[in-house]
Amino acid sequence: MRTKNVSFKWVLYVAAILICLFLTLPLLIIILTSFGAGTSSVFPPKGFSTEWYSHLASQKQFGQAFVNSLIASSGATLLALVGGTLAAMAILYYPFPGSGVLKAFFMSPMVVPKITLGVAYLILFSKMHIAGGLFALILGEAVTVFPFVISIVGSALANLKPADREAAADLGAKPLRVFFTVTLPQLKISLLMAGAISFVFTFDQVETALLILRQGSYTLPIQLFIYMEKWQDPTIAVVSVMMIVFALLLFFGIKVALKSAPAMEKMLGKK
Amino acid sequence: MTKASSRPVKRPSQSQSSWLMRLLLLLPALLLMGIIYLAGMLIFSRFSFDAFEQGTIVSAWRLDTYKAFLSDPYYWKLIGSTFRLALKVTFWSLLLAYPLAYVIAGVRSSGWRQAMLLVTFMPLLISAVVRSYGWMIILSRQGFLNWIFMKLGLTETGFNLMHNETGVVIALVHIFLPFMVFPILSVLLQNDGVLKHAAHDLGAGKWRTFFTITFPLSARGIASGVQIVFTLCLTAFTTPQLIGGGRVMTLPVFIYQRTLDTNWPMAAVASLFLFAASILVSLLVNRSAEWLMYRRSTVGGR
Repeated sequence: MRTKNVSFKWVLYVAAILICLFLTLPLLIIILTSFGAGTSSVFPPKGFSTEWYSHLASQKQFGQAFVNSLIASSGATLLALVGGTLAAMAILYYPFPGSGVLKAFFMSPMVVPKITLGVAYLILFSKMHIAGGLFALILGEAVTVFPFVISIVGSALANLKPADREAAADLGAKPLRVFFTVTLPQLKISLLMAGAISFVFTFDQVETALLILRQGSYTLPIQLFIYMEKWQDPTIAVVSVMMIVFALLLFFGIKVALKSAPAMEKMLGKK
Repeated sequence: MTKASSRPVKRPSQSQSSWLMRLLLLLPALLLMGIIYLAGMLIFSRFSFDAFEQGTIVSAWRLDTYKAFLSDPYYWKLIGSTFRLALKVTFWSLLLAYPLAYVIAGVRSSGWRQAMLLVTFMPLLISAVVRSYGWMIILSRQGFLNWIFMKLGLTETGFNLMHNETGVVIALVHIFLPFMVFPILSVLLQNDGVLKHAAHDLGAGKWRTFFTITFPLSARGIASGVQIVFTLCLTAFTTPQLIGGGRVMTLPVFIYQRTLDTNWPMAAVASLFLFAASILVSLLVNRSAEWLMYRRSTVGGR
């Protein structure tokens, strides 16, 4: 009985390790391919070389696409954070008949398929004559991440004690001052969380961006997608490695920022 | 009037300013969500009633495209294959996610747990395009898997793993696995050991304890995992397009192609169908999970 249980445990552990391997395998293979010589992505790679890394410097379109991605994701994240936080405050602090319906409406982009939103944006932005540019993408992406901000910042707002705000107001602070000195510092962590999730989500957006954007304003995943449909050389692997590194940096950056949040509080408090 | 008088006295100027405040606070959100989202969706839905004749869109109020979509067997085959793909991916993700979540929840060493959590959730940060590319170089004819198969002597020229449903299923399981692990892991972590110990003390073996205690208690997590993965699969575009290479047709790929052909009425009808289908599936999974759990608890109570 006992030995049977122990062996079952080992089967389970081995299965878990295999599943973890399954999860990391594509990333490992990409890294291996990026150091390969030759012009096609085959396994095993024909010898070791870093030629494709140096080759990347001449491929200007990927650098431009990375900048475009940064602009689009930051723009959409900021827009959603500002609009979403203000709207969540209105719904929570000044409830009115229909505010529940309004909140459901703000949350609803979550259930709309991305490809559906993409086609809708394409049609709308062509009618507005702004299709093809990053500005259109920022507007569209802000809608898709709006639910994240409403739900994360909204629940954080609901958990704040009204006593702090009331104390500030009783001491004569105007609503705007109360917001900037009391509410905003208390919301910092949830704003950071919502911002991080939105940024990562928009950075990886394919369906909407593929339909809206035109050459010259491609974001990094789109540039990669289009390159991939034409060529198969290790350039893709090199760009992919860059994107994996960027994702890891982002992940640990967010982790450090969250850990040092109390320090941030002190900094803001001294101001 | 009577309602207002029963409330604590409020000066009219104050309530007026609160309305102004409300409007100011809501203005950015209403502008964005009203113009881009609501108007966008409405204009787009309007196109579903237009007709598409000889490569141009004819403005009309007709149901022709709906009729064409719902009566042609080709589209039903397309819908069928989209659902079959989603079903396969959901099944395999559940099969892989449950043991993984179970091990993560049971591991005592926090270092191991941190490492496994990182491995499970880090892929979420990496673009689906990149992950699909990884699977392309694993599954292609000169890829990693076929290299292993050839070394083992199973095949001379390599198996066809890409541009078909098998490849798309493998890659999609990889992409959506974290969404299945997360809800299961969170319910497994909530379960405390008391019930398990009680069952054990009452003489239930490991398997019996698992099937009567642990598994039913994680039903909530399984249901939400299934719901998330199934709907994400129905609407997945990137991976079927890249791994399928145009040979694996699903609704999102079809919508994309019709959009490129500027057949907006058909793209709109198919999109609305996809939207309705994904909402329906979510409701159905939720309801059936509730029903199953309710039935279990009443049967167990007897």
